Amino acid sequence: MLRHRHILVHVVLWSIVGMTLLPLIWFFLTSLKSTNETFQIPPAWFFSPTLDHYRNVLGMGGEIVSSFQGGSVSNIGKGFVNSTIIAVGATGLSTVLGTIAAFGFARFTIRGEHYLLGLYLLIRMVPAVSMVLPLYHIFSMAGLNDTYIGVIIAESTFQVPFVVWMMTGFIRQIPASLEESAMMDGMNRLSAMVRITLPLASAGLFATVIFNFVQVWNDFLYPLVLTSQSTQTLPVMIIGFIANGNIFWGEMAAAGILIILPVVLISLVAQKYVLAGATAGAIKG
Amino acid sequence: MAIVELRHVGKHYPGGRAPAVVDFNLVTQDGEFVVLVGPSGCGKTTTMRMIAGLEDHTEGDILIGGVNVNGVAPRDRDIAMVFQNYALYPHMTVSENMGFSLKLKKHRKEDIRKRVTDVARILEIEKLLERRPRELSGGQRQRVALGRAIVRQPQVFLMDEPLSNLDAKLRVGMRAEIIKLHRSLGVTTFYVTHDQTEAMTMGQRVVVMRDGVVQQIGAPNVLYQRPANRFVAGFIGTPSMNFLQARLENGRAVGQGFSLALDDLGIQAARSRPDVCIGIRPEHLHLARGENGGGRLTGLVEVVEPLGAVTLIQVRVDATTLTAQIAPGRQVSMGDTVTLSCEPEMLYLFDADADVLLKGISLDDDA
Repeated sequence: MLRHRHILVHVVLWSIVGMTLLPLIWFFLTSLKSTNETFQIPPAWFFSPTLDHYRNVLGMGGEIVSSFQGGSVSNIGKGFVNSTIIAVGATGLSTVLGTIAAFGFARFTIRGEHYLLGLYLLIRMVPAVSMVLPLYHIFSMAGLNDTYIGVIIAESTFQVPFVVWMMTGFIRQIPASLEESAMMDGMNRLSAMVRITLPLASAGLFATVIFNFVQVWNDFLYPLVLTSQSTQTLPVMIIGFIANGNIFWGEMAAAGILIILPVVLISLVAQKYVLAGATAGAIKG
Repeated sequence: MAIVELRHVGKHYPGGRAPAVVDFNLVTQDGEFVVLVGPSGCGKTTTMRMIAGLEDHTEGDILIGGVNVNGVAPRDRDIAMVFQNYALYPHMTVSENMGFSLKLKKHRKEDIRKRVTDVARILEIEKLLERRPRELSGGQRQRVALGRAIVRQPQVFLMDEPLSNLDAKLRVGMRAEIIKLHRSLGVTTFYVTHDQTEAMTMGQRVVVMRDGVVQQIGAPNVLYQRPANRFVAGFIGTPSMNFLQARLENGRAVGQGFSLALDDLGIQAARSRPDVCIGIRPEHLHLARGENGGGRLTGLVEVVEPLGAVTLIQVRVDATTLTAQIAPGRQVSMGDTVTLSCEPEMLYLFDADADVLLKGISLDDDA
């Protein structure tokens, strides 16, 4: 009986994994197929793989593969640079600001604290698309359109509430008496926070940073509206593979795989911390 | 070592309805062990945190060693504190924990090591120096927390319920050890507890607080024998004092189901007051044998609690239940009717309305 149930659990779990991974596998196979094989019905499961699409998106094929928003690019290298600058910048800015705010929420009695935290959450509930037009307008007036700092600020507006919520919980788990003890021992409040509390909340901080980075790295909407030629990020570049009535499926898939590669690698390396951070709040109240 | 002085110190939290601490006045002696005691929420911890500088006081002045420390940061007050949950840094070893403040003050490494090992030897934790807090038992953590405070050689020690997380047996042992440490170090110490036994056994002076207001400041025996009011009388001493409402008739206190003789002091103190509240400590109630001129209380035994050395019985006298502490040999069972008596000089008298003490029992020194 128990054995049957065990098998059933495995069947269910593996089918969920399969359903989740199937598009990704399809996507990966497409990136390795020649253009003809891509459209074959029934789909070709066995074929001789080609790296042509990868060569094309990396600019080794000599063709113009992506053209979008008034320009065309022959490789996605610049996109990697742009995405990295924006993801690192926005993650850094929102982590610093959000953690300081979280510290305030966790350690001080603030009048209207619950409403304020609720308001932060509200910002995340509003569909990003409803904010993007006002942001575009404001940024145009401020001369921030198509600048790194502009996209970083825009992404941070969405990420800071996330950091505040995550870090408030993590910091609350660290007893305030540790900071007080450090203050009696000779530190000021800020150094007690940085040198005592943050190291103890590092699993949570790490998880927050990773989630944050992945969200910004993958974001499409803000960069789509707020960037054009010089600061275009990778997800936006992919749209460029639909050009002049052609859809370059193979290139799209190859670029997609290259884009998710860093994120997957980071997640794999950080899995231990991310899991620890994500579940830490669940056990200790 | 220093004298700590609190002058009209008060604390009002913004938005708080009632003040947390009201008009606290105290001057310690140099090297004195002062215990702050009271039920939870009475303001004792807030008072200690104000001395530490972890909370600002909103009224009055705090002086440490003659220096006004209003607005001075905790780290500049030369005070060490032992926290209820020990607050050891989990990511540091025991010796790093103990030497942390010296390191921040940029002491030389050898100097830090020497001071840490010296203190560790006193506290018998030398073998634990390289361990981390999570590898220690509660009692060991407690010693490390004490050690961390002692290493600093501060002017004042603050201890916030340091024994409340230990089991009962360990607590009694640590209690004695803290007293011994205090004797040998001679540092002015404030000790917060809600446990009146701890307060009585440890404090040279005890401050009893309630709802932010100091009820009485005095030596343990004074609190026991001359409690300022009914609250202190009921709070100090275990089991708690029994209270009975009575009226005065011909030099006797008469109430529902009892009539007790008063001594001359009692009669004098209660004069011109028709109604009083009588206080009798359980240890002063005896099982009466035969007729007794002092007066008696007769009632039904509701509960018998043998503790070994003594037996506690709860006796219902009319509408009131009294606790009496009797010798363990006496055969008393539930449902028995017993008669209790109390020497007239062992009766406490309180004003029936204001609850303040009219007459206590004689101090040891008086005898």
